[in-house]
Amino acid sequence: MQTETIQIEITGLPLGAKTALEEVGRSRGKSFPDYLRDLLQNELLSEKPFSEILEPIRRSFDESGMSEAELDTLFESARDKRVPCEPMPDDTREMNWIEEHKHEYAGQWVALDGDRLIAASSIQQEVWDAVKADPATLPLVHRISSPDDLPYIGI
Amino acid sequence: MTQLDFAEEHRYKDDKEGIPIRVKLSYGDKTIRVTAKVDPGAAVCLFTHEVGLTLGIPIEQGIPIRLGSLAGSLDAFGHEVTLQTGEIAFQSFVYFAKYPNVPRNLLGRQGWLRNLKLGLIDYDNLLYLSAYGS
Repeated sequence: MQTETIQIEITGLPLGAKTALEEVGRSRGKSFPDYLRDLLQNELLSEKPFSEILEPIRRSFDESGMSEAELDTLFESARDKRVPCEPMPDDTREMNWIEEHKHEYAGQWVALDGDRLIAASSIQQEVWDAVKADPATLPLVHRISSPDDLPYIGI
Repeated sequence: MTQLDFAEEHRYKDDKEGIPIRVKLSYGDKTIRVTAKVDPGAAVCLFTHEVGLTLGIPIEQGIPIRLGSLAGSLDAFGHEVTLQTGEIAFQSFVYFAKYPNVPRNLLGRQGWLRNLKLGLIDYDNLLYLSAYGS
């Protein structure tokens, strides 16, 4: 494919737009110029008829010798966003601690490492600050409901 | 008759707190563990501002959204993280509140439910999960 280089200056964007676009690009594993290039190409592509867009894909599929089943598998793996994970820590001791102390710490955020209380506060940030200073590997941070809380219905 | 199979069963407490579930969130090299409310009626997943800060996320550099709730509107910013519930983890686009002091984390459709198969028997306080497509 032949390529060309263009320089564009865009004015009038709201403050922070460039940073937001860079972040979107990063979240998709692309550099800022690569992300913008893809945006422009996608816009041009959207103007083409569907058959024309699919033509190179059809040609490539014919040339690859891939079967329909193999193609399905390829699409499935591309769609699947699952990632390997470590087992979730057993939270039995944390849940038992919360049940035992829920009246004492009602309405507070607590950080627990098993049945060890790292911190408790009605200000969540204070609990996270204590977590940072603690050697626990993966403590659980949880807000214990208060009798004054209204029944939950979304935010 | 339709029959569904699930990989995991979670039991939750029967109280006014809703349906809480333990979640692991990772961003870069940081991972944290919090509880979040299962909310299949919510359009997106929302985590507190403090959770975002702890993960080192540049919250306000994300994709902005204004969320509507019964109590009014709430501004948040979207970022891609790794989200794990039970033994199912996936790359997920979730939102972080613009301001501190949101009282809970929520697991909604985009970013969580859409990646899963969910079963619920509320009478027995049981929640069933499988990865979508499994």
